[in-house]
Amino acid sequence: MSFILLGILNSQVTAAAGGPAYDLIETTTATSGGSITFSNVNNLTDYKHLQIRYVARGTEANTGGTIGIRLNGVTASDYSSHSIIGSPSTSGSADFTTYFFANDTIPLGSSTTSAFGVGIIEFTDFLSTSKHKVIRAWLGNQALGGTRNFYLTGMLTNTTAAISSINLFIVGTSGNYATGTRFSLYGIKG
Amino acid sequence: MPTPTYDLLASTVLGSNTATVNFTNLGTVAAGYRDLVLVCMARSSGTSSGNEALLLDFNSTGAFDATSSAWDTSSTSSQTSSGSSKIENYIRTSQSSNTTPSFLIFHIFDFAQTNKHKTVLRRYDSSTYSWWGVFRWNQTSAITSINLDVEGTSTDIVAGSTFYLYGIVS
Repeated sequence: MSFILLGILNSQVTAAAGGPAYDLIETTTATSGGSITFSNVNNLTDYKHLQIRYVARGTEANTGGTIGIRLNGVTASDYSSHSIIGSPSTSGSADFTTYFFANDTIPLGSSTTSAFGVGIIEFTDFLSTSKHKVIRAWLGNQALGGTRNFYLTGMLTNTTAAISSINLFIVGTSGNYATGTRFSLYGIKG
Repeated sequence: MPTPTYDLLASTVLGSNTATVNFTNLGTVAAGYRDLVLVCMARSSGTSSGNEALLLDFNSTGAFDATSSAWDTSSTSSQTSSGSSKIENYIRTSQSSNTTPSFLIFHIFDFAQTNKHKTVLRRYDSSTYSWWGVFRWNQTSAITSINLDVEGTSTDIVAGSTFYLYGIVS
């Protein structure tokens, strides 16, 4: 069992000798295509957990877009996830058994100009080969002109393989990520 | 080369009851950072029942659209707002000498980017409820100030409340 304890500096207390534990690894600013991949993350052996922070929008002439997450290129039913969903009129839930996806969490080309969806996705114990991986996500879209949702999601991979690649894509679209989209990968030591 | 980040940029610990808390001059204070994270523990000095709104705005201008869901011990609910000049976030009052603060966290993405509106993930919790949601500030201007004040004109944010602003590079 692993717990992430992220010590955040308190200005009233002298910084402990533990040192930095949260590092920026890389940022991808999507310039074309509706898919980005962080590859070879299994080489990030200095870190215990990974986190992705993103700001994203799609170009397709539609309103709400869906972010999909696929690990190690696996497209089979090797995932299960449960989500709490908040929308303007209701709270709900959803389960998925294929790659995780979150409906209407990024705006597309026909939604409010200059509006982007955002998200924080965490991959705990990503290099472990003795346990299934747990991914936690907090995603949100507040563009008008379509459904606006936020998702709180827990996802489990049905394999103990270490995570070697993380693919984030816009589900079922022929469009691209819009200019201004970026995905940043962070490593957390443990 | 990995870059250590998630840095404390500014902090406010109230030594006395205070009407407003402001983080200003962010163009300088947060230069070089991409996202901001504001972490708060706060309570109002009001004596009304339950909760009071802690209002947040950016640059004292613009409008907000928000979607939130709340959970308490018995039910869930959803809320939406559009065109608000401030965002409401509920904190516990000092009714019946309540000393329990509320926890609030705001993840402010791309705060200084001028090619997009600013979208924020927020959460606030107390002993009786949990609110999660997303809101958007409909300005492409960089955020240069974050302002918080309690909605009631005769109430303050109580002494001991804390506000910490962190920066994350990208």
